[in-house]
Amino acid sequence: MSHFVDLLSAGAAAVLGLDGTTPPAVSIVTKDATPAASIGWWVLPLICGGVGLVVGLVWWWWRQADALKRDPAAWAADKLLAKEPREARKALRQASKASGVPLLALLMSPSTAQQCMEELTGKAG
Amino acid sequence: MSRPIDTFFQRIAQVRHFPPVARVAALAAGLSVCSLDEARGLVPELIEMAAQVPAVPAVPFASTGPAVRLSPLNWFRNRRDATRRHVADIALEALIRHWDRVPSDLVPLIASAGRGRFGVAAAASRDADPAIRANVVAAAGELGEGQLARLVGSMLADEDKSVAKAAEHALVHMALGEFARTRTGEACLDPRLVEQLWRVREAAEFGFSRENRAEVSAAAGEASDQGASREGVIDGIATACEAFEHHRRRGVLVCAMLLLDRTRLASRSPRAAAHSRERHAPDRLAAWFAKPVTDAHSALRTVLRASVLPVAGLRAMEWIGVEPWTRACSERLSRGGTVLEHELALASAHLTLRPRRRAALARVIIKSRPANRDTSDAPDEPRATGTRVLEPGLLPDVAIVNSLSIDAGRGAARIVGVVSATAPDRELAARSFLGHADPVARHAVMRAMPGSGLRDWVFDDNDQISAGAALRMSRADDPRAAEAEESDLAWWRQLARAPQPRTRFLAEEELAQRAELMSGTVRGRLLAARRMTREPEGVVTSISESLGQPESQSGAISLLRRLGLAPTFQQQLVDLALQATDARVAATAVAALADVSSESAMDAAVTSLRHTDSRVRANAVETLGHRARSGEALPTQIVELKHDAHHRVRANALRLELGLAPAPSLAGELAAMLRDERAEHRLAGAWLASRALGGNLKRRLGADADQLALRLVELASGDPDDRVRRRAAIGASRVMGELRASWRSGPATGGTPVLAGGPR
Repeated sequence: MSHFVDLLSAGAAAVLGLDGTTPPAVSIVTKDATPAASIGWWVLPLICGGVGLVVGLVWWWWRQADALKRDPAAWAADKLLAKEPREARKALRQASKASGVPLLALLMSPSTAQQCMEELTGKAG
Repeated sequence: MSRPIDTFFQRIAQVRHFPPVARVAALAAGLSVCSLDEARGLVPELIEMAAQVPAVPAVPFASTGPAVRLSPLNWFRNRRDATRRHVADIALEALIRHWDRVPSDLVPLIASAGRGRFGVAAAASRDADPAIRANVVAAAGELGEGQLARLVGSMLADEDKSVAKAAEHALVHMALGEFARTRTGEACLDPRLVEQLWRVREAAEFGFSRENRAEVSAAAGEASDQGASREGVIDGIATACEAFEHHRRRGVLVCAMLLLDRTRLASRSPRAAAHSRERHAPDRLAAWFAKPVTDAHSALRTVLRASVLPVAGLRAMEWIGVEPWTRACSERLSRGGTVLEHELALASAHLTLRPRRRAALARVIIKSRPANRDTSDAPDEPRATGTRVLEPGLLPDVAIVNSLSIDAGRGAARIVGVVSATAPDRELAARSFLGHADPVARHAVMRAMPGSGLRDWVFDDNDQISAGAALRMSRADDPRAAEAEESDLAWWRQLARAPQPRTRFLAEEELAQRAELMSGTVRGRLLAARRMTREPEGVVTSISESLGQPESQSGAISLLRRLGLAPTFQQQLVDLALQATDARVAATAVAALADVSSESAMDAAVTSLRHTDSRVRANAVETLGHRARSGEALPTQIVELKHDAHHRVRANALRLELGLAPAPSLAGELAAMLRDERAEHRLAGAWLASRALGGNLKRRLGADADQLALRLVELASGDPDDRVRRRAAIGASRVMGELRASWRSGPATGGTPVLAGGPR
């Protein structure tokens, strides 16, 4: 069994409180029996954080791809809407809801969007 | 902080950075609501994506495709191609879904980009939105693609009536595009004739106008020549025809009528399949047509009868030999039509070479009606009596005939001999071709004409047509041709002066073998006798007419004597005997009076004794002698004629007296004739003596007969005139023959030697 496994098992026991002692210092022994430098206790969280970051990025990419695959129109609408200022987003959403025209269609056709918003403004007035 | 998008083109530039699927979705969404100006920016983007399709289909493991080595690189490559194909397909589908936004000038680009891939619109054709389905139909109509046609063929029963109607229009449009590629279609779309095609009711009914006829022409010229597309259109129409019971759209039947030409039908025949080198897919439309048991076929027959599309006439000509279409086709052809329909149908007249089709066409009847019926604008205008015109039908009117092409004109001429018609109606139909410019057509009509209508054609300018008609009218092979009517002979005499040498020769030959009634020949008399038993009134009329014409009076008098009609024409004969300027006619008339036992005839004969012409006087003597032998009194003027200066008159008068009351003085007169210094008188005397010295007359003359016989012998041996010697020799041999006969009979017969006392 390697020293890395020993280190993991010891760390796990310390985290779970099975041991009740501070984590022991670990010596990594090389193949030629030369004693290695000892590793500090912060190494393990550092590794876990890195792994989590990678997993998160993969998850984000996968979610984006899934959203694009499931509904490219909604995906495109989100992307286009993100380019709009906050007020415009709100107005476009309201106009889409009021006129029944898809939000993406309004985003891609400024003339239609303008017409729908004028109608909405006229109704509100 | 994001910046708002101000312009439409900035938005498009932004979308270009999206993944392809999202880009297509965004463009399609924009296209669904955009304005026309925006569409001009969106549609090219979609066309660009629709065109980015891999050249080779991504089917790595297809059994029929090339063997592809399975490797990670190929896997990624195939996956990439499949993605590209998917993106191109959804882009193309987006264009079809929103076809109403597509500018018309970009349609050819779409047709080119999506060629062979328009099946992607299958889902759109089943979309819940009727507007989307209508767009699919509109795209099919404009693109004319086979895969779209298959979809449209199944959309005729759409729940939305407007979509179904649009699908019908699209199918007709595609069928017209296919039809325009055929040879017949090229003829129909000829600029000279295209106006008529688009003017018809069906064109308006199916949503076409003069403006979009150019689209059909362009579609015909630019549409893909790929067989798959054309077969797709055919399959779509076949699908629609098979489902006719569900949608009842008449337009699909018009499509079937347009495309079911004889080439397509013949391709289904077993013989065509046996001779075909290539293995063609079965033609569903032809297969549907071959099993005419459904309501759709009944409706198609109705369309064939009632359609005003000119091609209906052509199809009627093609289908008329196939049951159960024969009756409908006959009715269609009997109905007539426009110039274009006549052009199409008659140019296919060579189809009548097929016996079954010819037999069916023979039941098409050509009729005529009085002219000016229901056509005169002025009701008070008097009708032209006896003038008839053809009723509208398979054979065109004169005005149409002259506007037909050469092929159609010749076809019409061929049809004249195929259809049913009475002889006058056929003659009327053929008369339309008398002035036709094509001599081949005229010749064909001439050959199709019955014998009664050929007279007009003999005077054709063309030598072959004229001679052909004359040959057909000739009765050289008819043994009773001699019984031709006088009018017929007169016509042949007129033809003998025709400008064409061949016709003239034929007419002269024909006249040579026909005897005339008044010709005085044996054949003429035989002809008259036969006709007398059949129609005596006609012969009497003919003779009466001939008696009124100076050149035929003599022959007519001879004929009436032969036929025993002299009593019938008694007054005419008397008039001719007394008043005829021609002495020959007067002499003949006087001779004919011998057969008339009336006072006026006798008076005329007596009057003629003083006629200046010797022939008249001689015939008058003979006539009076004939009447005297019948018991009538002989006029005393006869005696004066014994010394007439003319030998015939003198001989006749002397013979008459010898026959009635022989006396010695008469023997002296006869002897004087034999001794006359004029050769003609001696000749007449020899003739008279040869008759006077035989039979009872010799016995009456007694011893004078011997002297006369001696004189006759002298003339036979020593007269300076050869004719006198010959005649005297004949008379002498006759006298000697009777003498020998009396010797053989001996004294028991009581005969007296003629030359008794003479040298033996």
